Amino acid sequence: MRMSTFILRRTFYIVFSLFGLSILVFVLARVLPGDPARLAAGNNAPAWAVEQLRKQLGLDKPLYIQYFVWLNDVFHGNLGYSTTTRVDISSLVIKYLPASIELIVLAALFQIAGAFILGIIAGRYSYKAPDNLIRLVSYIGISIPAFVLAIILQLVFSYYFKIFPTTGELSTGIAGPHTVTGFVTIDSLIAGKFNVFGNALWHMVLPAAALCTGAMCQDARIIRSGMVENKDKDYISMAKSQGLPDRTVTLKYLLKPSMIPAVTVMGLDIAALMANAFLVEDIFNWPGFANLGLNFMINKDLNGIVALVLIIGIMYAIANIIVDVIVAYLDPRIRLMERGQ
Amino acid sequence: MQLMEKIRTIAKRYDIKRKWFRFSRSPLSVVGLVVVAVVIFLALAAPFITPYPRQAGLQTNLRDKFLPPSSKNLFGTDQLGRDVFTRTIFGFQYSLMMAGVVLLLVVPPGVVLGLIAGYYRGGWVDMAIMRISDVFIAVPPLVLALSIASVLTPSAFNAMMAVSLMWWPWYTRLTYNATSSVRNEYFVQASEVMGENSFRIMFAEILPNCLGSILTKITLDVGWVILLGSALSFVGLGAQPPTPDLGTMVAGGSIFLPGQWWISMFPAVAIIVVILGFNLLGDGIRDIFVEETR
Amino acid sequence: MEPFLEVKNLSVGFKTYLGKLNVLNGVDFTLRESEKVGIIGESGCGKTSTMKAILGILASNAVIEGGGISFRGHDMLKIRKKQLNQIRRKNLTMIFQDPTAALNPVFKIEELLGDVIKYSGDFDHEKATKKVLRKKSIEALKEVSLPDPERVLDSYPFQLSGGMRQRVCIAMSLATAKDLLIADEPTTSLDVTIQDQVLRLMKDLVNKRNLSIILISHALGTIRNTVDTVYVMYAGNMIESSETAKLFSNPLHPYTQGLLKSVPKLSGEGFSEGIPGRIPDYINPPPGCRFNPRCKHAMEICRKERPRLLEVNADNHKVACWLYNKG
Repeated sequence: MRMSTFILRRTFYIVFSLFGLSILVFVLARVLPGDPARLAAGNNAPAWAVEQLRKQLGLDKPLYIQYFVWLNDVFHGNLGYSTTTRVDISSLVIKYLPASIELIVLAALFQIAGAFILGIIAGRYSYKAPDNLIRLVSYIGISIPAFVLAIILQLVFSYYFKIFPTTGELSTGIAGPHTVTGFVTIDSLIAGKFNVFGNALWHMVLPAAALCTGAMCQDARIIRSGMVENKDKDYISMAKSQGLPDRTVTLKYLLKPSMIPAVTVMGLDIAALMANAFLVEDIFNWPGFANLGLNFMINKDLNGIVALVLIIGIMYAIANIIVDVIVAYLDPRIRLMERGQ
Repeated sequence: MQLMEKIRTIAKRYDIKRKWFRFSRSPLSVVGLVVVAVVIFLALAAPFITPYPRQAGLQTNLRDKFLPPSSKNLFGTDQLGRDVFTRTIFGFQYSLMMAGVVLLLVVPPGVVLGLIAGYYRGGWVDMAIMRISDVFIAVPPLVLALSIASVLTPSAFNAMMAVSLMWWPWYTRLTYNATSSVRNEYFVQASEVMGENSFRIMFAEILPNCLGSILTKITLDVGWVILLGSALSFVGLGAQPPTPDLGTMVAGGSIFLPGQWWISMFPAVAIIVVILGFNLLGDGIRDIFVEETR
Repeated sequence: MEPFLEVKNLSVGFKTYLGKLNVLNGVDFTLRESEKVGIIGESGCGKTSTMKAILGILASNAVIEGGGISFRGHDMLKIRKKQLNQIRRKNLTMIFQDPTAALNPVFKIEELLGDVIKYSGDFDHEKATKKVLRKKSIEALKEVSLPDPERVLDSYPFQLSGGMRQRVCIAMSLATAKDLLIADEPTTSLDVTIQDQVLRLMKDLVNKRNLSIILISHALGTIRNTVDTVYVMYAGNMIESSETAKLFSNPLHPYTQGLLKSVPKLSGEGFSEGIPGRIPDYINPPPGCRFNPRCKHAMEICRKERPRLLEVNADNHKVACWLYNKG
């Protein structure tokens, strides 16, 4: 089928899932914690204040009406008000989301580059010293939870070796650039302030490394095992027998089929990046969306939690579609054979 | 006598000897098995082999707080003077218990749903089950776990419930895929033609073929559940102090970094070791079954 | 005539987790220029491995235990990579048994065929633009009688039929000038109706370009109709070789005799006989002549020493059997 049809079908499925997700989380957030109005008002508030708040927040209406009201609001760009701070959630999102996206993008770049480099080397020298070393390190890398790694990195490279800064987005004393897009990196480039750009990147290295290491090691292993598995396949023997140069055989004909399983997994990797951000941003005091979300969760800010899950769901969905498109581009059998040709 | 016979027949039926041969071929897998065995042993024997078992609970020892590692306290003491070594070993107990409970709750329904959806593939049952599980998969697992846990009162029990609630769809999906690929094989069709009961077919014919991937996933999942659990307790949404949960301990000790590093570091390393062990073991198990299908 | 290709006493093993498979056990094989040779033998007897050894494409768990391969004077086992690639581009080429497995599934034919031509060394890399390569690719596809070459170039391997895939492989092998074509059971995985077409296509090309060819097959009929000289292989050894007609009319080695007797005949009386026993276990192969456990005429010496492939009469009929090589 054509690429456009492919994308449309996937989008439809995902939108459907997102609706289901929104219902699920909405219901959970209203049902589980007991009385949301009481929660918002606080334990010390008198009963009449709680009832007033209940009416104010629309919590006295039946659940399904609440849902549709909320849904309607979302489509108008209104994510509601934070139950605890009464601040408009959308504005919070706009303020804090860019920082997280910067971090995730950098982490993704590290991850892809690292996975390919390690995977190719390990595959090329399979069962010899480089491969054994890479495999060992990868096993450990996969087994370290992101928050543990964040703490260790901070300990080693910030406190002990003092190479990288400990926390925050920019060093104290360095003024952020004028806000154009909300992305510190892009804005500082626009403003021509390269030292700010450099400083911002410098602050991103450790958190990004903590975010991506687990997934990077996983992908490296997948690429490596793909290459080892395909190395002795007939189509590689044939390419070799035709006298094609080594570099072409390894980096073109062996790599492409071997990396497809890894790319397929990259959607889940992005999930891992987003999820790990919740822990890592907290440790590095990164002013990002995940840090905000974590605060919502700890403070039981119900509107915030629902909005958070929805936004993450949407971002994850978009990322998945992009990954699916890339995989379909790489492996013709997937896009051309979906109907069982 | 009869028991020996029974064991022998089961071993032959599932080809245990050959599986062990393949498994032991990879030294790393055996390392994983050893690590897991040691961890399980430590978890079970915790009250008996640790020097200060009562400090895993409410007992504190403020006189001896912040002691660095020594022969008296192998891993040092924490901010309340409790022996970190003892608490770490008990931490294993909590981690394994959580993983055990979650998987026990999640695997049977998840697998059964996957079998049904895969068997009646294409029908409304398939649609219903898979669309519902898609909803849970639409968001990164940790985020969903955090969200669900956050609307509940923080506790170890609730953390387990939160993880269980969102974990089952992964087993449904796995089983669904395995069932779908086997569903139209000749041996299944033969059973259908002979008029065998659908449920018998699902459980006696199809399920054994999925066992390999399911077992692999269970083993690897122990690592993941422990990771999720420790992440939840790290942010305070899981086990609460003074419960000796490894994540809680890492969080509790993080404010004392880098000075009194041992309070955080030893539990952190313990988490890594447990997850590493189960990952290695899981890979070994996967290798057994992958070779079988080739 | 100086041997074009000579395999001398080649022994190759494969390391597996069950142990080492000692497959090739001292293979002797010679080929002259423009000669057409066939190799027959059961599956697993080492035919493909011998060919892969010649081209240097053995699997990564292969171990060369001994012997040598020489092609036009080059020691193929010790040759430098650069020279080996030169030989692969200019002289040798191989057609694999399963065309589906031999074509990289995630690349279009245009890419696969284009690269072969591009790196053949026939011209400068600068001149090898996409247009030029495409033109030459179409020529190559026309040579193998593929209808609608444009469409084939834009297709992926899985979009073509089995016969078409094999033709593409042949086109890739012979897109540039070669001396020697090795065809490893080229028609075994094709439909019976296509087999004949592809075989005839190959014969045409071989004759047209005066190539040497090594044709591997376990279909005796095909061998009989195609090649001048036949080698019979069993369990990692060449056990008999002679001119085609002579082999079929006067097989000398007990295995060959059994092989020919086991072909079912449509006329005549009685059933065909098989050969009792099975091919040996390569991890613990029988000592001496590997056929001895199944051989009616086995003698003491057969269990002790392996007979070499030696000429029996002066008519180039060689056998590796103690019945004939006394001493």
